[in-house]
Amino acid sequence: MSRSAGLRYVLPILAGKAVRVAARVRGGGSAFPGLVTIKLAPDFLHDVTRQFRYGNLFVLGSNGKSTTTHMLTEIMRAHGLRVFTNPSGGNLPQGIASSLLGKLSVTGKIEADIGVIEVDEAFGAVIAQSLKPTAAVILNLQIDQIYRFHEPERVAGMFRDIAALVDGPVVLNRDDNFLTTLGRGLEAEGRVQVSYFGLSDEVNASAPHGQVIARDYANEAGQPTGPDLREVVAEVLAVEGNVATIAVHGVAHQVRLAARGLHYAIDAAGAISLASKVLGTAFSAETAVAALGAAAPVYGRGEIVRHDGQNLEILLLKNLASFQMNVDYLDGPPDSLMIAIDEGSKDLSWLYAADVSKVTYVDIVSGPKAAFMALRLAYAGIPFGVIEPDIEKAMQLMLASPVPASGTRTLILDYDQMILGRKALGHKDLESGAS
Amino acid sequence: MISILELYPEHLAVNGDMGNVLVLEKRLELAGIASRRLAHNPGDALPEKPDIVTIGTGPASALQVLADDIARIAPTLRSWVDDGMPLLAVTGGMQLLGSAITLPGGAGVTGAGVFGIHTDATQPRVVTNCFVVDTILGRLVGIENHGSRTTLTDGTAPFGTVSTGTGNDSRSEGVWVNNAIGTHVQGPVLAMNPVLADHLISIATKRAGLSYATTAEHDTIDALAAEARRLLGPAPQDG
Repeated sequence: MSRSAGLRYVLPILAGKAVRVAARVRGGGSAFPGLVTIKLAPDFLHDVTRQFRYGNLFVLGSNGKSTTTHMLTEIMRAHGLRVFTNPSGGNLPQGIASSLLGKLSVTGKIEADIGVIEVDEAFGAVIAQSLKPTAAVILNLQIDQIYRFHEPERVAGMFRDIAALVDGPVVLNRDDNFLTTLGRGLEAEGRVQVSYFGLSDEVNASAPHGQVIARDYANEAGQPTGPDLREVVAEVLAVEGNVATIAVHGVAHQVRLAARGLHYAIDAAGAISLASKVLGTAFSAETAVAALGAAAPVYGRGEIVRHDGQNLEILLLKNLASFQMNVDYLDGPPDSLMIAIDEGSKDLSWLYAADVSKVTYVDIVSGPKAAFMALRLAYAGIPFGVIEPDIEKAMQLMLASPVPASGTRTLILDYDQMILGRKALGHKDLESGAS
Repeated sequence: MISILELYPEHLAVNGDMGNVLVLEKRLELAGIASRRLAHNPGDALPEKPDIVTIGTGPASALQVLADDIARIAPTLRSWVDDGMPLLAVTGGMQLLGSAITLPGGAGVTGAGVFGIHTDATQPRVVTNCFVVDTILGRLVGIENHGSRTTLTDGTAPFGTVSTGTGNDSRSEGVWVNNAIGTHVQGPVLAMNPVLADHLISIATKRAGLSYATTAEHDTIDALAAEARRLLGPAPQDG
């Protein structure tokens, strides 16, 4: 087969593109076109992405995948590469195929040198078999969706299975015991080069709840002692609002991030580290830092939307770690706050593992599962204004209330509530790869 | 003053079971009763007799590393429960307070022997997003998430019967010895089911010579819990 995917893909691609257009007209991004194409041509992902000269980079982790994928994409583009990437949320095989469809000619040609792919951990091994990753970064292993993932050890196994299919540098979070155990295994195997990113001891110590990483009970006693000889490419030395000081190969840089908080600084360190490993001598820390400074926030990850003279800061409510880190790095108690939880959150018991004491008042609790959040707040002794399960009505209530002194309202929203909430604001810029 | 002892909060914290302690504290506070939260971690000396004991659930790896410590404190825990101390144990914690657990891979953990139960934790995972159990306290609703089947031994009584979900063995749910209750109901169970929280508090306060009465503020919170139970599934409430 030639560089382009060839004539045998004309029909599947046309079918997928047709469905894609239909889905757009209907409104809302969809993974369905990708599903159609994969059904018609099971080797689609593999064959199309073989065109990438620099292969496929995988971004993995419980939290921060979308942000890191975006950062890595911007860094690679700033280094002159043409990047194919899947938009945040589109991290299942059909989502990736849908994104590819938008960029392909009907014969399967794509103008890209490298793929930067956000991958769902549960589908990672399947996706890795198709895309043959040439490098990967794993950000963290946090307790996430226990109704789906059950126990952290199971996710560690998924990461191990995916890492076994990576043919090139693997970059890991030094502060995550599950990942350092994985790293030691890979080093012992000697097949791929392993390096790390992390936080300085001072930054680790000053984080209110650390990185909310899951504990690896089975291996805690066996962590090696003595001098640390591991290669750390990027290390976060300080975080102040949305400015992080990150040492890259030992040289400190001031990095302006698209959103504030330690979690974004860690993501940046992960992105820088992988970019450096992949680009080698072509990598420039200055170029990477400038690219990060110019990057916009990812959909709903600390993004500020202007609406009717008001600033709406949108934070994604996903799981314990993302919720805790978003609350920890609020500038202070928000003076106008709405939280909305939807049906997608099956088991909300984790709300009780979160320290919400930074919040002093919640104006509106919304979403179909609003009662769960209201109950949690009541037990924390945090007063709230109203419960309005309908997000559209809740948005109207919020916008009609007096603009707070800070001029900014904070919205902590579940994924579906975020899409509906933005629709209510008249924004149609839905995440196109949403799955 | 009511003291609440939480066992192994750093290990058995994979979901929000720590919320059970918060629920007990807040309900006592609203009733005008002071409380004190205590924690026991591996290696710690057990505190003087607390008024209520709670233990949450956690991964198999955590249960395995707790085996030594639970053996050390087992005689004290058994004497407390023999004496009628109220205790709440959720899923993994319940298993650890039982006689024995068989873990994936075949490793065995000897439990505290508070409950006459044996757990086979090598079974297919069960996740029930609307787990409904009928007990003497009424119908309880929550979530179950475990890969185990539990057998009651030596005539031990279950806590209730399964309406929807799996529980111990698709029929019986949990275990009940004196005032100690073991259950697979998560959510956390006491936030979702204040009737069980009040049951434990009533026993503890009575034993301490205090009287516990709920207030209008409890009623406001309990209306939210009723709504949360309703949202989990179609089961009608009669508890």
